[in-house]
Amino acid sequence: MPVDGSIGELVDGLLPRLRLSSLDRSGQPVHYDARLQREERHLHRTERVGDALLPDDHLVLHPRVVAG
Amino acid sequence: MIVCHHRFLLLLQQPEGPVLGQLPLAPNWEPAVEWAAFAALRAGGRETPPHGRVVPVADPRLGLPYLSGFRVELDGADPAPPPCEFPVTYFARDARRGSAALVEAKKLRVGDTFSYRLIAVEQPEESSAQPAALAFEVGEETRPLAVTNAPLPPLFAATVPMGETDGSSAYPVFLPQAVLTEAQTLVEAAGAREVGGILLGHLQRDPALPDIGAVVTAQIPARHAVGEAEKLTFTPETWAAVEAAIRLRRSREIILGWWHSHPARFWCQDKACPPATRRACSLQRGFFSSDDLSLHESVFAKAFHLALVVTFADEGCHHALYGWNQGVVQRRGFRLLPDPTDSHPPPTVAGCAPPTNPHPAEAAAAPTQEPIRESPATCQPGEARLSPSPSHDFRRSFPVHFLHPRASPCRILETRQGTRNLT
Repeated sequence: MPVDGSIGELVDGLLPRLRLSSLDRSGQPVHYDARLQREERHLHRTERVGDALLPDDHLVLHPRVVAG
Repeated sequence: MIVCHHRFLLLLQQPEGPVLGQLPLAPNWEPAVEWAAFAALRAGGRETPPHGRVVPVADPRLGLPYLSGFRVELDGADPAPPPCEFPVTYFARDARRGSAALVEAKKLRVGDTFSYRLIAVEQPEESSAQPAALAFEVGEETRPLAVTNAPLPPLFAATVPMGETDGSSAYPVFLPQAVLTEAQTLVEAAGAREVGGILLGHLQRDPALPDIGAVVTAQIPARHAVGEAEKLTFTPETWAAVEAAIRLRRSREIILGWWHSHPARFWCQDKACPPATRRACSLQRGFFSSDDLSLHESVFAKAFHLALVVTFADEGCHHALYGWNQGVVQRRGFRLLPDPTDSHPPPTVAGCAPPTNPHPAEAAAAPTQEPIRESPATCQPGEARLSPSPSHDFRRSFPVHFLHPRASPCRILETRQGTRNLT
């Protein structure tokens, strides 16, 4: 992946690899934020992969879902 | 990987009447496979990844293509666990959804009873399209499920049954009164705003039974969540705080579920309904909304995951617990662990009924108190009744930030230092 790829593109690419659905059961989109464990923060989708990540970094995906 | 070589359909018909329509299904098999894997674990087997095959089970009276359900055969375990069967009611929600079109077509009216049959037809194996190769490598870390070994009968002896329980398949859940009291305190303090949190605890295996129980130990309030009258937004900071709390507690707890409130006493206040109408209102009685269900199915997909709803009704707070049962989210019972130091009155549980099939471990436990008895409204298997939706359909949908407790961390395996490309 190019270093100027965005975190958003990375997250979208990860979803099928991790068998995570981008839609919930009612068909509403599920958005995910990536949390960078090394810096203990959520990455912005617009951040550049080459700027944000280092080898062996761990990411945890946190979905945004709907509750009433 | 879940393999299925059949296409499933529902035939919707009037009881003993003509077929009104058919509904092609695109089933989500993941809850069934998760349930089968958890059932194998409860029976004393080893943890296996939720991979397997879905196989139709022919109706013994009608034969194929009519089905009495389906079964899941798990991969990867040696010896292979026995197949786990699921009834046609796995598709009850699909049937209700399909009936909406029949209402529009005036083939059904609201309040009519209809039945549905499940059929399957074999379909040729399709070569599954491979996702486009990404220019980086990811490694999924599968964390083994943390299960502690300890006898369950002492827990049964120390707890009180509450809520409806299907002892034939439901796993026991032990919930301290202190957790309910804390949640209730937060709900009452929040007034008209929704609040919520995360349920922590352990899975406890009793090899002698064998079975596994979920033991809730604490609730972590979602302090960074933004609560409004009809929605609750869990921000990323909320989840960071939950993860930090788990680490700080150093009790090897896992996320067993979530809870949130429905401040029903503040809803519809401007409608000035008479007290009797409000008491009978489904919003006051407690419910699991379609949004709640979507959240639970999407985020809390493990077979042991729970959802507690605290309804702040006119007559006070009452609780209802929901969880997976044979791949379907249902209201369920639990065992209440009284807190002798708690001066609050015992919590009220909506829709309670005596355990219909007590857990085997209860035989080894001394009886304590009488269960709360109240009959729940249920549908007969394979039948559904159309009724005005009890959920708050007038409510909008809102984006919610939520931790993904089943999401494994993905590790960027390698970066090319020269160009810093992810390979």
